[in-house]
Amino acid sequence: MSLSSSLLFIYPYNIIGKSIAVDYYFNYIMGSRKKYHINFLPSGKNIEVSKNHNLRQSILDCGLEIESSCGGVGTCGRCVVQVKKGRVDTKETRFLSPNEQKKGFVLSCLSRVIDDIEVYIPEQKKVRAIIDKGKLAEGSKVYAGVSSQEQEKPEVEPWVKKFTVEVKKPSLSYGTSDLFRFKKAVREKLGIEEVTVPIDVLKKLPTELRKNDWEATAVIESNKNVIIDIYSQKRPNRLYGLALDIGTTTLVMYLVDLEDGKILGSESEYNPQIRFGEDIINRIVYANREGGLKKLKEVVTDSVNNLIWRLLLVSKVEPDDIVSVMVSGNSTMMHLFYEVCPKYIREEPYVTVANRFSDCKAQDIGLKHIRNAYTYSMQGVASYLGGDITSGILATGMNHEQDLALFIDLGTNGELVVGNCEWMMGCSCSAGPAFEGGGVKCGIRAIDGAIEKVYIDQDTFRCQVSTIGGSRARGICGSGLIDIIGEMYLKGVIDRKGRFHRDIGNRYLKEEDGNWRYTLIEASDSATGSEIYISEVDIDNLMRAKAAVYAGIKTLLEEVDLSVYDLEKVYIAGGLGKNLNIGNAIVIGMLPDINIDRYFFMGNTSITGAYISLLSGKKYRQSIALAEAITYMELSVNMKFMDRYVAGLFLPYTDLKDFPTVEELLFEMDDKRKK
Amino acid sequence: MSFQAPKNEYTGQIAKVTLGRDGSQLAVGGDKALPFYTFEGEIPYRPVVAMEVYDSKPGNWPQTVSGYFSDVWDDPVKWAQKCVGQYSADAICLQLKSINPDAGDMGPQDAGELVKKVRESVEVPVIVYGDGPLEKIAEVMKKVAEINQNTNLLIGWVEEDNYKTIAAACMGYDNNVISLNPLDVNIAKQLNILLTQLGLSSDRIVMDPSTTALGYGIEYCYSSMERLKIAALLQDDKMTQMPMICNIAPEVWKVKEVKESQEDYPQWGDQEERGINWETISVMCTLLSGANIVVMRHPRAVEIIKETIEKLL
Repeated sequence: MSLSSSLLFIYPYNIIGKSIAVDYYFNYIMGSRKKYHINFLPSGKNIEVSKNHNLRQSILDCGLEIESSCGGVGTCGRCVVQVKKGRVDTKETRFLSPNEQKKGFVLSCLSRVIDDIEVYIPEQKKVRAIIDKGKLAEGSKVYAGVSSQEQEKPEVEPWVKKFTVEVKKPSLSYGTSDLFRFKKAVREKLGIEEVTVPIDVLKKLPTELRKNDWEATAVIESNKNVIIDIYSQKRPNRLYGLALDIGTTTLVMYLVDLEDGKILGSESEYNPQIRFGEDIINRIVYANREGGLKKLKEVVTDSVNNLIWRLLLVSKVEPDDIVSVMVSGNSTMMHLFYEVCPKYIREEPYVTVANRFSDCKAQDIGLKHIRNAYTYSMQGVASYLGGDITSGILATGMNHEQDLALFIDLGTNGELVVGNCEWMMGCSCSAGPAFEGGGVKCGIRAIDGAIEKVYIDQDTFRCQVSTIGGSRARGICGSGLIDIIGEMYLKGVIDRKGRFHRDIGNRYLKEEDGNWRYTLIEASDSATGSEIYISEVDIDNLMRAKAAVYAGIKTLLEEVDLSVYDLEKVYIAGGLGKNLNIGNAIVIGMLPDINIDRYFFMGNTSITGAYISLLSGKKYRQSIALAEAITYMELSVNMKFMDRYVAGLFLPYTDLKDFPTVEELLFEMDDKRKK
Repeated sequence: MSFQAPKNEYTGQIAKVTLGRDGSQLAVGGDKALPFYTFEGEIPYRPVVAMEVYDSKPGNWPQTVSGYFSDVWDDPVKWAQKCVGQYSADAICLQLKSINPDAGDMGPQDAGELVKKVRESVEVPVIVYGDGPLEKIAEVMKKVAEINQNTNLLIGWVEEDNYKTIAAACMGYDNNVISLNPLDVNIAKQLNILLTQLGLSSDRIVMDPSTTALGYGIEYCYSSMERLKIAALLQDDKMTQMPMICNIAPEVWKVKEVKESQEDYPQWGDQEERGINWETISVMCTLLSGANIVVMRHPRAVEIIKETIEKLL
């Protein structure tokens, strides 16, 4: 019904003076304008929204956090809130039991505001985060266990430099342009034949040169010989740069002294885009919505600005002295950060808009405080092998070594690169977010209280756990999940298919809605007040993830006619928790059965690589050449990969010949059990 | 020096599985070479041609095949005897359709008794296939194994998600198991590993690779069966060395190409001949790729296949 016809319809009643009709009419017209008040507990924050406003959106609008991995379409069941007062218009969901629904629990993304309400937001799992800032920021031994060229001290070869220049004064007899004389002075001073002076520097040139009697300080980017900035004072300050890693899950930033490579500070934060989708696919989907890309860009830029601000505050560095920024991240994150449409990464034949984004001024991409700094990005290889991987290889130094090495990044996706100083080949094996706790009911990221190690008693099947930070358990992180599967398998809790043995008298096993689960921590002992368990569905998800990683490794190696035994070194990067039990990762068939001494856990290598590149133009150029030289292998259409993937949906692998040490171990365990 | 044809060196051997007991005893498997490669190694037992018997009147058989069995529709015992006596079936494959809750919901006890009656009425081994949800099949087959204990019955089927009940019953009552996999070498192996880890001896397992009919992806079946055979014989992979059964008749006789009449499709020729050819070629494909037992329907197709096997071995 259009507005005008409804007006005609209601009008006679109004004449009669029936106020009901008037109210109805008023509501009809004004309904969307009427504001409802929402009070959020326990924060006490509140907000006014119009009728039918989405509840989850209201929470975000209010600046509060709410977990969600589906981006608000009701498929992940994570954005649960409790409506304490008032009512909402909500849709039914399988994620909530009738009892919970009776108590007012709703999925906020499926609820619309139709009343003044009071809403309780349960404690979000990701509070009090510890983010892996990379080995360098920890101040401990740099590059532990890695014999790369950067082991002792990173190579410093500043490529954004500052110099003073004396420009000849013009006169009636020497009437050439300011620019001509400036260039001439630079030529004489630095021996550079031709420098580029962009228009924004040119605008400052006449005033800055004249302010201090034709003596000025200029900043030059010596890769391309571009003058980045010019100012009249002589500034004795040193120059600084920022290394930035934009992970799907976390943001990490270093403030670096460009002259000696010292890290003056490091800051980190969760990637705020998480609330629009936990993995890259969901982010791309969101970016395709109207205004979606802009929104994603906005929130991540805000967070990055925050990090910059915090670093400036702590370090007391002058914003103008920060002259360069090096950005690393996977292809999708880079697209979003530069506000470039990521749509085609997701569509066959899966191409990026760019594998490296054009150098630009920080202000061009919305960075505040350091507007004039030049921003560079790490070169990626392909859609699913981004600049973060190039960074990783740079961090391991495997591009300088003769030894054959394998680099594995277990992030929200699993990326692999194999090779040495002569050649490299890489692929991405969509392992999914299981190692970051995604797709697992009690899975969380590597934060305080995350279970990272598990021991199961052989006789009672009781679980003992150790958590990050030693606090009460609130969930299980990637390294914990790997440990649990390995431990359950070795202790005979699950069979080779990952199904629970139901006939062994395991009293921690129970069935709920046809899904079997194994309790690790009783509700009374956990930090969240709910039981921490692992179910057969969770195990299935982990089996898929580990199968994809191993299938990727095997397929990649076989493509170049190598076997896992040819690997001299295996570097593992990613935020799945520092105490990854390599042994159990082999037991479950995720990593190849080779000597444990060959494995090196590297943590966040994306930031390390960005840091190395920031310090040295030579290294940065190397990284670009390196990325361009990596042969990319598309696994999504590879039949052998699929075959091995199915073979990997078994513990440790269908063919035990691939895992001789595990086979031995199993015999031993069997013997023990029999005794 | 004269030419010598290259020969495969086989390191593995297909497991020998015994079907039936006493008078009806028959062995399958034991191959030391790829199918029909007698010039490379011994193939001690010829493939078994089993014929279908249903526990109730089948619904949608084309007239071109139903005509041969309409006189014995109502009695599985007579039906089985006709297959063995008149059409020389090597074995009987009893398809228990009625245990499906949607098609009669026959109970475990009745099913067990029926199997027993059929088994005792013929002097060939009996294979049993269930139908319906896995839980029901498991419940029925447990009883079937019990009532027919120690008879080397071949009982189908188990899958990864539901193997323990039937496998345990077959272990306890000395019968054989069909392990079903969805045309996947890895899953076939995984299921065999689970079954043997449970304690079932590997000479009690027959694999069913879920074969389809000609024209419906038989090439894929061919290559996946061939891969299983190659892994078994050339790589001595113990978990792929079980003999294979192809329950192919129900697949063949439901396709359009055997069901449409000549009136509707004159260019396709005689309907019965077409059906016979369709079944013969489908079955021959599975035999060439490694089937040790084939389940067939049309008497003439059975005859041709048996003749061909005779000639090839």
